[in-house]
Amino acid sequence: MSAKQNSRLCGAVILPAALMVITVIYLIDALRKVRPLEEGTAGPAFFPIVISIVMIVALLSLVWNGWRKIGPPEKEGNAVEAVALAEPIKVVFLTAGYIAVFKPAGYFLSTAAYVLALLLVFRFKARNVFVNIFWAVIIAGVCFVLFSQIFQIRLPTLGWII
Amino acid sequence: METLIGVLNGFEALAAPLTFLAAVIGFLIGTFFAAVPGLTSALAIALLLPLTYSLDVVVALVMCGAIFMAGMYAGSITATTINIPGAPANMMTCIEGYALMKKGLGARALGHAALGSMVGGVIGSLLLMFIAPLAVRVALLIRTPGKFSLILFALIVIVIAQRKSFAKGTVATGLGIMIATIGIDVMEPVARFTFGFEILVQGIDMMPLIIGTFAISELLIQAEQTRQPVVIVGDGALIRRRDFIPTFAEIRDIGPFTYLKGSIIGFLIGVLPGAGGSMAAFVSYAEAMRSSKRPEQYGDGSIEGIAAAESANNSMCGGAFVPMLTFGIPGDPTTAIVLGVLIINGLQPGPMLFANQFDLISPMFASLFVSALVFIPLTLFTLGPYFIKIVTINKAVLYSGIAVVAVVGGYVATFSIFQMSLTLVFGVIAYFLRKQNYPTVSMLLGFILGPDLELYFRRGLSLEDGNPMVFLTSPDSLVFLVLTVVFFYFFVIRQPKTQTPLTAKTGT
Repeated sequence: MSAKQNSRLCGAVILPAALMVITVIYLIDALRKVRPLEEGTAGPAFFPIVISIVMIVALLSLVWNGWRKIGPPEKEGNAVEAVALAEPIKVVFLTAGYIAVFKPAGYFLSTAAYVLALLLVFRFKARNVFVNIFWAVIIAGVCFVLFSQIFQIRLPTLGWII
Repeated sequence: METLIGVLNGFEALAAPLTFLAAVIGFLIGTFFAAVPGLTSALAIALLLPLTYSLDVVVALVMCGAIFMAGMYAGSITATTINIPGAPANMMTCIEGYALMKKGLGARALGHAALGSMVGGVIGSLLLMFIAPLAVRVALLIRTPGKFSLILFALIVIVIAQRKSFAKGTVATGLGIMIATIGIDVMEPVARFTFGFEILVQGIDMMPLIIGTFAISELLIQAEQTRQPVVIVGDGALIRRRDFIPTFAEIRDIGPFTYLKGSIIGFLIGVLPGAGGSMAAFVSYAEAMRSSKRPEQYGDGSIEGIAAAESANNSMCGGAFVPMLTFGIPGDPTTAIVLGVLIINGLQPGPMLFANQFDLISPMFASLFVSALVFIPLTLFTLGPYFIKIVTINKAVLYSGIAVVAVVGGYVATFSIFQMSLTLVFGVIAYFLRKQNYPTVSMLLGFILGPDLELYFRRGLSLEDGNPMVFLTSPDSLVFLVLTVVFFYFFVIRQPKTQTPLTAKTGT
């Protein structure tokens, strides 16, 4: 079994296990708050309980199948996965930051900065920062025209300027 | 007669300058998104979704119809020119088209793909115009227990149709249903699964889920591949306009029956919930290969294979709208998002939509028809020689723009930073699901159909004072439950253990 395969199989167990935790929390909440059967009819908790039981059965089968296929861990596999995840993690953090400053900083400033950062992540003309800034302003401007001018959607601004 | 008048009114509405312009723009957007590997027409409509708040519903639906038809057709461009199908539905075209491209016959392959798409699209949209109003009459016969069983049947078929692990499909569907249960209960004024967060009482909006699932997850997938350049084999300059036009001898050789058969297969598979264009193209291609006089040409540049696959996937567009408009059950991911457009605009699929608001949906039918008959050949002839340049567009600029439209789109729907944040959360969840081969379409359809499944289940039970036998004693419900069992038995329990020669060849 190759290193990459091993890494994928680890993922095949981790994801269903994580979903299992979420499902169990969901099931506990359903069981705790409302009685599943009220006066012979299904109450608000009945259907969620059925769904979570179906989910748990399916997730158990996935964890079991994934676990059986996992071989001994290899360091190289983890390295491959780490490199593959590095760029998406950067995008997630950049997007989270963009959402956080979107209202306080206003559309134009936050969007231009976000696009500039994304251009760097996607390796766009990394040697020339002025070209990057130019394209960031252009993309932010085009999207501004699309949302604000064509579709008349009010976007947050920083004071009265941008 | 009433239907015919309604359909003709739809064409009249489409002829209005602004509406027609929307169709043209939609078709160009759909062509672009389908032609760029990684982008799909579903993503294009997902990005359009927040903007539909400020668009007239007719204009929005006309754009969706044009994007859908263009998306099915234009995926054949990259399938032929660079051996990367623009959409999964163009996998079969990839096999035959690229083989022709390597022989210097790329233009011929693109011409036949366009012709097949045109014929399939026209037949599919005509069948939609005249079968959907009839299907609505069937929908009127289905009562509450039957509606529950129908949705259950649809969800099971959707999971099966994804052709991935049944357990993974079940988990993805269940996750979508779980997300849909957050907020106020479907029958009683009780808040569920808020976990102490007051903001969750209002529930989860459809918009962040759609944008997150289709746009943000794609952005993250593409971020992984920043080091991989697009490799173009063959010479794009060799493509000339006159080479696009298929000869009469070639069309006669393929045979009108191949186009007709492909279109009918595509339409019927489109009607099946969750099956989508890739299954339509695959089944039609396999059937054409089985009945071909020259099966040995398949895999080595068969124009008959291209015609069969492309007529089926474009005909599927019409078929996929039938269950969505009549029962509220989307036939594929794109129609699931179009359902979102309907819901956002306060339209409820079903018999009342056809009876009272047919004038709002008939322009979309006309848009599908005109897109297939006029826009496909026109686009090929005018833009065909430049198609290959589309794939050389800078990915960094493209995805940065898509990221802004997606994230800001999550905001403009409700002007809520919370819903905007959910876009990212669902995007990350969908990214990991896609990485592990879970069908994210099932999650979306579980989210859309889950509340109705619960509502009809509980209403059905309350009809008989909690007696679950109501689902077996009601004839319409029994039919769908039996169908569910039959599908489950033949496609899950008795699924084929070995690869057929065709699947081995195509790798699907």
